[in-house]
Amino acid sequence: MREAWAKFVRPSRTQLAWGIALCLVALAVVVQVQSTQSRDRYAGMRGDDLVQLLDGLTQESERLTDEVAALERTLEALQSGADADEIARQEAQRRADGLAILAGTQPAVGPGVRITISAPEGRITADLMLDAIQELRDAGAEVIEINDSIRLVAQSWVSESPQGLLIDDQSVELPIVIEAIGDPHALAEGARFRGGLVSQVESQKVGGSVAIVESPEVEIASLHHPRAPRYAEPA
Amino acid sequence: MGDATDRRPPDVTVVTGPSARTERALDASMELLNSIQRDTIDPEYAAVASGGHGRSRAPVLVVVIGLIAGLMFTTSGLRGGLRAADAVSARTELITQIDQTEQRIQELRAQGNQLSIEIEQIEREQLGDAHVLSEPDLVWSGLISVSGPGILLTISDNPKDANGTIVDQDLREVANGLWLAGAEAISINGHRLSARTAIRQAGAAVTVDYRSLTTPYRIEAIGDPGALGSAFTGNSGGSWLSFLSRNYGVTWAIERRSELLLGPDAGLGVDHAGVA
Repeated sequence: MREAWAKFVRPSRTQLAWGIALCLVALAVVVQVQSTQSRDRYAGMRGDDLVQLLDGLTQESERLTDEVAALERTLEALQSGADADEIARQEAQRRADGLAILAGTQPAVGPGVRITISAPEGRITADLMLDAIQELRDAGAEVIEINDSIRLVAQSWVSESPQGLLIDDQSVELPIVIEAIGDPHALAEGARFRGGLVSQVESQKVGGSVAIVESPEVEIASLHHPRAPRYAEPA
Repeated sequence: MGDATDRRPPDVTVVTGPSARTERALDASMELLNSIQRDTIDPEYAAVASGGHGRSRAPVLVVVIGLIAGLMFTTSGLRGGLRAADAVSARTELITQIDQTEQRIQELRAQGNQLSIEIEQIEREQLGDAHVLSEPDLVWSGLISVSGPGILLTISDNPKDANGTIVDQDLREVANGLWLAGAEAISINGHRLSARTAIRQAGAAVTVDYRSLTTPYRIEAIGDPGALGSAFTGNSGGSWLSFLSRNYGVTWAIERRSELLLGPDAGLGVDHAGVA
């Protein structure tokens, strides 16, 4: 025992080299561990997540830049006076159209995708549908319609009943066809994203299949028929 | 209704496996060191003891191998450290970019709102009553601020349980439950939900329209204050929250409010869709 101790306090050169090397390795490990910890409100976000977040933000900022530029042109045209009346009329019409499309009270047309989901009866849950809708909105969907008959609006809800899936109190039969207007490529990519709609539907648990068709023109004819709001008032 | 049971995979923690592995590894390395010492020193002693003149080259080899190994470990360790430092600076760079872009978005939104107001004023002067947008559409779409009675639903993470962190799926289920219960307008932490709002996850943060939110989540919903709360508690949204609170210690509460004010979904519009 004493011998072992003596050996320990008087290491050979080799042991010393090992010791120093291990010390440095430990140091490197500590540095690495520290670098992955720490940091503010983005803690817990991996590099990939941050890149994804930045991508979304950049897209949004580009969209807003275009929008602001368009508004500036409109304002300039309105102030220049020449055919301000006509421009005012056009602009008002554009705004009214946009509103009606968002509220679901007018039919809409534009580029987009047609997604067909086939699956055994009862496997498509309300949660899966909710997730799919969020994914499409995240990818920039402006108008969404289910099975050529249900026009989705802000207030739309998904639920499960003994008879099957319900959206806005209307039953959703299989196969489910989702049509969405927006950038076709972005929408298709949104659905194909790892862990997204396609991988969920084609998982063993659901055992279904998804077909995505990008189209330069998707027509959405179904309308939402809103009642007058009872509690919410313009403020 | 909301089958929340498969929400998260069960936590699998193997307690014996990794530690047993470490012990074995430790023993093995000790054995290696011991054998180096044994096998290299013993022949040397033997050679000296026997008075032989053939000196063993083994000690020199040990030193060389040890140095090479030490150098390899050290350089790989250092390089790992440098790589980690690179990762840190790349991360800092990303976060700076995110903050800048968020700032830019806020400025653009404010700019757009200001321009819209000016344009609307000129239009009103020029077109008079011909320029009237449907009020119900404005309310339902989320394009304008609305006020009215309703409920305030507050949800908080349970910091002591990793599963007690609210994720996008939870807020999605909650919003869905509130619409199902008859809500007319909803805001999450001040962000109004429209037909284009996406509730998503980016790492640890829940994002609404790419803006990251943090606990506690304040969900304001305009509707019949009494019926809204009870209908929500009884539907899939309420059972989802009950599941979270029972199993992961998430806390939530509903308060009735006689007057709520919900801002618009700023920057809401369409670019690809036209009226057919």
